[in-house]
Amino acid sequence: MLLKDKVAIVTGGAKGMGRSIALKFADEGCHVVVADIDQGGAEAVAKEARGRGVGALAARCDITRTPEIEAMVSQVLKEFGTVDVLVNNAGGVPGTGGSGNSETITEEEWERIVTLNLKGPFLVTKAVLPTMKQNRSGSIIFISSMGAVSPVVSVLHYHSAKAGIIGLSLNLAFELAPLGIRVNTIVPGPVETPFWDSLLPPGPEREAFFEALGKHEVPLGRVGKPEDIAGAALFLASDLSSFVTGQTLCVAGGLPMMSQRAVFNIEGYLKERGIL
Amino acid sequence: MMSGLEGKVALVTGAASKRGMGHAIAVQLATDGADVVVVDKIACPRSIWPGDENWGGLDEVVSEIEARGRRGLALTADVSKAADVEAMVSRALDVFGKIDILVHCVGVRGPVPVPVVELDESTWRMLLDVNLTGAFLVLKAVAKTMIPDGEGKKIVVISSQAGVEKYPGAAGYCAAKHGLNGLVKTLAHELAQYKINVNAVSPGAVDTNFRDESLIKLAQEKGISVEEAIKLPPPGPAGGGGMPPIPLGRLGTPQDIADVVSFLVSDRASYITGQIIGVTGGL
Repeated sequence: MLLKDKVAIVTGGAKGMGRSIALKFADEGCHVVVADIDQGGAEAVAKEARGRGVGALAARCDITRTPEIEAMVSQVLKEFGTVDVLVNNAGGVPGTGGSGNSETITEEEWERIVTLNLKGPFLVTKAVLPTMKQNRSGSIIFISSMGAVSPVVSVLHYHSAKAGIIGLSLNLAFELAPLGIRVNTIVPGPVETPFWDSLLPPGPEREAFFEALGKHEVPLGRVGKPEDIAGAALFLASDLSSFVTGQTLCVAGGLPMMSQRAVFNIEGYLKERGIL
Repeated sequence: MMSGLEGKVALVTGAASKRGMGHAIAVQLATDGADVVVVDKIACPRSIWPGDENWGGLDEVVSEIEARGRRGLALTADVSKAADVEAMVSRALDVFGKIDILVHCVGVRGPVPVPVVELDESTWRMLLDVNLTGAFLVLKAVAKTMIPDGEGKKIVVISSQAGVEKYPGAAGYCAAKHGLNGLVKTLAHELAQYKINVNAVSPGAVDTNFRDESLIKLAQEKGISVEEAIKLPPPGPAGGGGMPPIPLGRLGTPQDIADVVSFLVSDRASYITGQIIGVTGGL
């Protein structure tokens, strides 16, 4: 049990990587807070976590709204008394159709996506820091994206925000290390999650896409699973990584983080099939 | 504790020093459930640290492995010699039948700081021989045995922050570790088709026997005893103003490195390959 009796908040915990992280933590004895805008989805994951014999709380939380964040954190403190781990997993590209370039992105859309993916994680972090500082310990985990440094599709606002996450993480690590708080970022490669829903709904076409992507692009020959990311998050949350801070951990099946060479043209593949 | 290595065989090179990462890694892998072959050039290297006089080297590491209910095997090999490496691998296979996990931990830094303009050719060649060619020989020989049934097999190389940054006063070591990271990234790509994960751990400043040689040199230069030299703050780069402060406020320990290796050889890291993982306390 790597996280016995710890308390972790996982934002965006209702589905995908967040759900997998919350359940992996629960397997390791951790009490989990599933924070999500989808209250029903959060409840369902919290119920699954409780089935693993830990405490779990589902909290509705829009990470772009400070009052909701503060309400969530005070609920957590009331319920569990502390916060040991924060996984800033919430984010995404809602309402964009999964793409956007310098011509198509409006100022309003830029604001919305960057707020969700960069400012939001900062605001949640800010809200848990008083508790972690008091404890003089804590682990904060951010989720960036390969596209931040090696784009293969045009999602300019999202990838810019995810590049900002790497800077935010490094700077927070520097600021918080003397206080015993560790800060690291996971950079997932292609992972099969509901993130892709807006681009490719589940179905045979999506299966074929993931198979081709894994086979042609990823050295290990497959796209990632949410559990792959959860394993890395567990490592960074636990004492196994007690001397690890300010790191950017690429979980991508062998894809290098900085690659100018996209063997598999995802955008071309999707356009050819009339998906994009 | 990261368990789940029951039935696996691990080989850890550079495992004989009491205060070394290899020792901590070998014992951790045994705790996690693996049988462990421990290798070093000298079976029982002396340590300059007070209280280490009775250290038993590889045999003592094997005793610690056996105390955890696992099998251990001690072998000596000079990793810079292909014949030694071949003999090491075939002996490990004779006894255990396979190698599931390789942790290549051998490394020498030589005395520091010695600026490039004062570094002699023989030292440079020795540093590249042991740190880089040695790694090539070991990785090549072990990887060959892994390929036929590769899925789930793991290679972890202990590199250094000197593999990604400058290291004034230790150019040979720095150049070798940069090369080592290139080897790791390339081998990871080549072995991915067999589902073998290859990664490097990149420690920052860790409190090990690694500093012994430099401490002896420091003691000689300052005309003090080795015991006194141990108590001095670690020297910085040549001509520099000492080590940069470590944000987490302490030197790393061999166990810090062993914990990260424990993760990398587990199923939890199965989608991580070709990575250089910094374990630096925030540097």
